[in-house]
Amino acid sequence: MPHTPKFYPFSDVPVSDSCWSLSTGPDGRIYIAVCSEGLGGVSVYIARYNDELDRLDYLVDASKETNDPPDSGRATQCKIHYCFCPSRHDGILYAATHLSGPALGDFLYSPWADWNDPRKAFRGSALMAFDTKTDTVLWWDTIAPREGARCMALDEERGKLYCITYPRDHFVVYDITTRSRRDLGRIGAINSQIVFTDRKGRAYTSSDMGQLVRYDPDRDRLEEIPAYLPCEPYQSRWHSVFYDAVASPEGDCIYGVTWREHMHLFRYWPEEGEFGRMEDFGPVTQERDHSYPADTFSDHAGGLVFGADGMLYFVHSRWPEKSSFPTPEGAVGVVCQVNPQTMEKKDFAYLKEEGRPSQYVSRAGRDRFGNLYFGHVGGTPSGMFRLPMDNPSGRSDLHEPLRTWG
Amino acid sequence: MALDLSNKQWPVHPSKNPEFDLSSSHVKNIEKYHHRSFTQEGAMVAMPLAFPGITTPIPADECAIISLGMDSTRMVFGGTAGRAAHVFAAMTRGVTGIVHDLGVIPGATACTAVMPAPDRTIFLAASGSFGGSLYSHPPVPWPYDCFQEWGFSRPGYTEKARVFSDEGIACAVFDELRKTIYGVSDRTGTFFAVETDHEEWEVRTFGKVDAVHRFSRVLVRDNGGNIWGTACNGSLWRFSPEDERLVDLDIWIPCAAGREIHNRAEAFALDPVTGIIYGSGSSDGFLFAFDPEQQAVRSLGKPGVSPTIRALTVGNDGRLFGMCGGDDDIAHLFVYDPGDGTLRDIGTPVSLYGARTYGYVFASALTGKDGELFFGQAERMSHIWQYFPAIPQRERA
Repeated sequence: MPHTPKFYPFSDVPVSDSCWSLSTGPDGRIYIAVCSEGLGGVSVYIARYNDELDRLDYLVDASKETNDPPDSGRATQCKIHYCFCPSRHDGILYAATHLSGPALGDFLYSPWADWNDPRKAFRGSALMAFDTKTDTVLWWDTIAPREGARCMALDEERGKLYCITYPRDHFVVYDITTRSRRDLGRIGAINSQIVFTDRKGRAYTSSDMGQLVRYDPDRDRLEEIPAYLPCEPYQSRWHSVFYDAVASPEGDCIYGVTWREHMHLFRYWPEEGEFGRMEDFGPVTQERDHSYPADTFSDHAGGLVFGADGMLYFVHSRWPEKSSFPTPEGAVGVVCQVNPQTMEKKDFAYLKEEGRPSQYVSRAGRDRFGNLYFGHVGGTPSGMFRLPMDNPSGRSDLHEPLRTWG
Repeated sequence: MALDLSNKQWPVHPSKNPEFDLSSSHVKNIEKYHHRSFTQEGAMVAMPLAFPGITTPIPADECAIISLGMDSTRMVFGGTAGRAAHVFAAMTRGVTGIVHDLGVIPGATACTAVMPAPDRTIFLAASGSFGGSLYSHPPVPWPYDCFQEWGFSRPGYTEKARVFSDEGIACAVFDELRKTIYGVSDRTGTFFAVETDHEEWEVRTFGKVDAVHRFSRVLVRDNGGNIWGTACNGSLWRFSPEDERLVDLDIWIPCAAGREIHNRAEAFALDPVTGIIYGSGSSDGFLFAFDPEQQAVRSLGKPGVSPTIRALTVGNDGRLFGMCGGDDDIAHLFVYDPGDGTLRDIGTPVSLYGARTYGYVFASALTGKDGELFFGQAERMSHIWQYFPAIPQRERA
C-alpha cells in the first residue's frame, strides 16, 4: 500500500497509556491528549504534532495550568476525553479534562465510592482555553464539579459549549462569554461518547437506549426525539450510544459508529423532517460468535475523518480469523475508506506497531496538508499514528472544514 | 514554548512496589472497591415509567417522582414534578408489569401527594402557576391480562378544591377515619383541612405552622390521627384533629450543634406497628426516631456523608430503609435496624435487570404489602425502583 502509517509514541511521557483525544486545531495542526489513566499522580498533557520537524511538542501540563497538582491526594486531571473543540475565529482550542486516574499511590479510583470525600474525590472537569497562537492557556474554569467531561461540542456562533458528564450522565451548557454553566439534568446511565451539532446549532447526543437526545438552543430544550441508533437484530438497543461521528464536508449529514460490540456504521440527516433521518449501513467488524460478550476494546471502531479527497476514513479492529470472538491478540487496526456516494468500503491501510495493540483508535484528525492522524488507546507509552495522504495541489488549508466537537 | 519533560520523575505504580504482596486480595479484589459501591444486599429493579417495550415512558423533565401512595389492592401510584406533573399507576402484581401514565394534571408542575382512599378513589394534591389544588381520580381497574384485548383508560382528574391561588401545596395526608385531607402550603406554611365526604369540598385553614417560612415541606400522620411537622429550628408542631389546634412543641429534631437554624424535617416514615415516627433533618442528615406518646426524640446518627435524606420507609419487619443524597449527589441506600440499633450503608442503587441503570436521586419511598420497597427516583429521567431486601439466613441449631 502506498500510504503507510507511522506510529509516534508519547516518549516524553513514558507512563502514558492512552490517547483519548486527537483533534485538528484552528491552525490546521494536530493536537493530542497524552493521557495516563492507569497510574496515579500523573497529569494529562496536550501535545502538538510539529509538521516541520516531524515530532511531537508537549505544550500543556493540565494539572499545573488548572492548579490541581497530581500529588494533591485527589483523583488526578489525568486525561482529556472527547473534549477538544477548536474555535476558528479566535484560534482557541477548548479542552476539558476527565477523570479515572487514581490519586498518587492509589490503585484505583471510583467516582461512586469517593463522591463525597473531599480528600479523594476528583475536583471536577477543568475547561481550558488554549490559545494556539501563543501556546498559552488563557483561562480555565470548572465545567463539571466532581465529575469528568466525557465529550464536548462547541457552537462557535453562540459561544456555547455542550458537554456530557461522567459518571452521572448530565448534559451541561457552558456559556463562554459569561463563563457560567447550566446543568440541564440527566440523560441516562451510559455516556454517549459524543456531542455534535448540526448547521442550525442544535446539539445531539444519545441515551442508553440508543435514542437521540437533542438540545435546541433557540427553545432552550433538551429532549428525547423519535430517532434511534441502529444495532443488530439479536441485540436490544441498550448501550447503542454514539461513539464517534463526523460531519460530511457539506455539513448536511453526520457519519458515525456506535459504541458496543458489533457496532454499526450509520448516516444521520439531522435536517430532514422534524427529527432527522437515520440510515443504517450494518455492522462494521467481522462476524463472530454472538454468544460471547465481546468488549469494546477488542471489538472497536472509531476515528472517523473525511480526507481531503472527499472519502470517509475510520479505523476498526480486525482480529485473527481463527478466533471466533474478538480479541486484541493479533488484532490490527484497519483504516477503512468509504465512498460516501456508494458507501462502498475498502481496506486503505493497516495500523501496526510491534509489541503493542493497534486496534483501538479513539479519534482522528486531518492536518492542513491533508494528512490523517489517529489517536490510539493502549500500550505504554501510548501514541498516535500518522497516515501520509496525497496532496497534489500543495495546499495548506486542507484541514477545513473544521470539526468543532471532540 | 514546549515543555521539557526529559528530567521529570514519573510515579511508579504501587503494584511495582517490591514491599507489596501482590497476591493479596487487598490488591487484586476489585470487588472490594468497585462493586461494593453498589447495592450489596437484596435486589433492585428499576421499572421504566411505561409499558416496557410497548409504550414511550413519561417524558424526561416531567418524571421526577416526588410522591407515592398505595391502594387497598396493592396498586402503587406516583406523582411527578417537572415541566408537567403526571400521575401514574405502577402495577407490579399478577400478570402486569406495567406503569400506566394516567396523564398530566392540567397546569400542574408538581404532584405533591397521592392519597388512595379505601374505595380506591385517588386523591391528589398538586401545585402550579394556578396555586395549589386537590383532585380526585376514579379507581384504576386492574387489566385482565396486559395488552391482550383488555385496554386501559385515562379518565382524567376532577379538581375538587382550589386550596390556594397564590401558593402551592407542599404536602398533604389523608385521614381515612375522618375522610379528611390535611396539608400545608408550600410558601407560607398555612395548614389546611378538607373533608372529602361531601360533593362540594370546603377548605378550612388553621394558620401558619411557622412564622418565618422555615417549616418542613413534609408531614406525617401518627397512629392516633395527629399530624406532625417541623417549624423553624427543627422544632416539632402537631395538629390534633380532635380539637383542631396547631401546637408548637419544645421538641427539636437532631442536628450538629449550633445548626438548628438550618434544620427542618425532610422526610418522615411511620412505623404502623410501634407508632414510632422516623425522620431526617435537613441541616446535617441526622436520622431520628420520635415517639409521639412519649414525646421524645432520639438521634439515630448519620447514614451517609450527604446531609440530605428525602426518602424513608419502614419495612414490614420494622427496619427503616432510606436514601441518602440530594440533587447533586449519588444516592446511597441505607437501613436502620431498631432491633440491634445498627445503621448500615447498602450502597448506590443499581438495577441489573433489563437495561442496567443507576439511581442517583430519590425523593419518595413506600413499602409494598409483601415488604418490597418502592423508591421514587427524582431526576430528569426517572424510574420507579423496587427493592427486595435480603432474606436473613437461618442460624444452624
